[in-house]
Amino acid sequence: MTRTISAALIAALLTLSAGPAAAALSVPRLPGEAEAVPGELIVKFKPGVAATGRDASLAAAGHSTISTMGALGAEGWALVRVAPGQTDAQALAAYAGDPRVEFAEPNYIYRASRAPPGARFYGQQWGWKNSGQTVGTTHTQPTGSPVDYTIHNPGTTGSDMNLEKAWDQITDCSSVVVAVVDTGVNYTHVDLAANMWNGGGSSPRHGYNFADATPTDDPMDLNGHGTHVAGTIGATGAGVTGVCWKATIMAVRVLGADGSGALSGIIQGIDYAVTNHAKVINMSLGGPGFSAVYNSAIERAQAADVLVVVAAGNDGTNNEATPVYPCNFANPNLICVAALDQAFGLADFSNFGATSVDVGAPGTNIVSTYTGPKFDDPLDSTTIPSWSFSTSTAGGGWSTSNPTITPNMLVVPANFDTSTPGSYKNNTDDRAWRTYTQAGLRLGSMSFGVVFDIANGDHFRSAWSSTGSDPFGPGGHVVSDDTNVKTFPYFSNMSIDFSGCGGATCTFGVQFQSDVNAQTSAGLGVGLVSLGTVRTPGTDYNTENGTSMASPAVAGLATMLRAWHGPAFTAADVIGAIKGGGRPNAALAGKTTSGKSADAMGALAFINPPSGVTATVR
Amino acid sequence: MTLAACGGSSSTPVTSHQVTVSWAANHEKGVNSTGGGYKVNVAGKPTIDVPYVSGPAAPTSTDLTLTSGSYGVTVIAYALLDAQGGSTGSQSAASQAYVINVP
Repeated sequence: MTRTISAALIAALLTLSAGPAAAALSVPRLPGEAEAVPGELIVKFKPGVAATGRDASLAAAGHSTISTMGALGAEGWALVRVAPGQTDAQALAAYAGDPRVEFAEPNYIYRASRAPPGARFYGQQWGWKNSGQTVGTTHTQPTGSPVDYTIHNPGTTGSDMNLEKAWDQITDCSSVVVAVVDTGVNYTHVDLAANMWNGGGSSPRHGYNFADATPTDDPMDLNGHGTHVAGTIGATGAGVTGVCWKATIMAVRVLGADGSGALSGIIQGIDYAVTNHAKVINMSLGGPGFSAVYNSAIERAQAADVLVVVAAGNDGTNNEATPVYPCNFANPNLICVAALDQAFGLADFSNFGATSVDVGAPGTNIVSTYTGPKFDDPLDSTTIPSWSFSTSTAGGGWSTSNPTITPNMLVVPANFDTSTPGSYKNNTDDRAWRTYTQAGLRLGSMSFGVVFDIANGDHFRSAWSSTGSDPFGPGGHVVSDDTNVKTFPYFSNMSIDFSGCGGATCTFGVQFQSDVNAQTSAGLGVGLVSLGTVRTPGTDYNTENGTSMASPAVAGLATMLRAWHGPAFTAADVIGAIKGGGRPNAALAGKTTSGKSADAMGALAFINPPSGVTATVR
Repeated sequence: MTLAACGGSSSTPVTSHQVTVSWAANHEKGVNSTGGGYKVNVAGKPTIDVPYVSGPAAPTSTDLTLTSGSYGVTVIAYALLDAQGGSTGSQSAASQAYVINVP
């Protein structure tokens, strides 16, 4: 319970008047409209007004006393019954000019603060309710790795979006279409299926796919990112709870299984969302290049009064110095979001920007829906036997790394590690591959990390094949080819589309090939191999970090605001409410336009200043 | 209307005019429902309350009488809901000031 003593008193009064209260519960009302006992008001008389004066006021209004509210009667309170047929507004207006009355208000009905009904992982959703909990690994990933954001875990009680109070006002945002422009959405997920947009005959799968060369009507998520975003906005509460318990989520796939996408697809996705009447678009994506075409798509959304919520970026840099788009677009219908940790500090990876980034929202250790389970390949004694290797006579071939190194890696040359650079041989062609099978699942993406130090003319490649054999041979598909790159001693994270095999079995491979030139580069190592899959119907959850996770928290809030206030509430109104109703946060001062964290209840209650004041003198 | 000041034939007449102050409607639900509305502040005058009464929206204008002079006017919107989810009320920041010049 978060209500005060006075609210408890009112609830007790309702219990005493069970008949009328029971009737009140059946009175239809608009979503979010405050509920009150019909035919009753609470009137407060000014101090010193005698009983005769109170009676005169009530008689003038046509009202009668139900109760003087016990001890409160002495202070001038009265619970009154209004005249038959009077609306609440008419009854209240009856006291408008009465000098004896301090105020009158409906006899509102209060309830215990709403908490989500039984969401399995709600206790982990610190961004909605931060009780100082430690966010762990209680998700359904079969080989789930520990949460990897350790700063401020646990965090600070109360560092959250204040959603439980907002949910007392509204949980149903389904009157507003919110588009997730991302890697798609697993629209079969048990926590999302009921909240997906109905696209009718032209979009039978709740959205569209612009990530592939030829658009299709299937926006299924082969990566997981978009499904995670969608759950933050509008998961139903089976496993996790979205900002909105009921929502209308449009899936717009513009990023592939590898998590990347071309501008042409993104533009088409934005236009699709606008054309199909989305009023909020979430884009948890970004890149360094300014594009006039990109900007014009945001402007078309602006013309249709569509709000665009975007992520600040995960480089830990200042967007004023190194712009990230769409965050750095200056359109008035765009709001850009930084990521906060569990103590509402700025996450160490989060970009910021005094004129480009607007607010902060929870973005570390965020549990949400996922498109399917991930399977880590530890490259240890349990999985190395499943790998096949080939090498040229010149090279030494792939080796497993020194066991003292974490994580395990496949390396070239054999003595390569991240502390003692080696020196690979010229004229080598070393290959390694493994066939993965996950019965009952669809393979989606393959992610891995590479520590590079290879010379110009030498190549690291990755590939897949449906033949079950060397993916660099006949029937294989090379999907990445890097040369002249050095990240040593750091990993570069890579992800490839692994869905081409079209089923539950596919072969993944890596190749190192050097030319004939002698060189002194150290070599490379491959590790952190993880297979991403798709499960239908979806039942999976995952914990992720990023401004990609912060953006949908604000997009969900924007959707809630538009649903709460109605269709007249503009994109500019929404941005004004989120920024104006936010909670001041010293970690964001000078690093965002508002210096505030998003606060759902604050935004709901915020009132934009009136505009357009004028006067006519006669 | 022209009012003559009392007490002397040489006094300057005081002129008053009917003035209508209007503004654009706020879109917040709470402003346009019971317990919501606007407050109009005219420099040197008591605040005018313009509450929601009925229908889809609160009134967005009010009439007043002003004598000759210049008056700054601002409008504030208010509603019942507060930032903690209670009903102690919230109000907006003031609108940008508009100057009324009454001849």
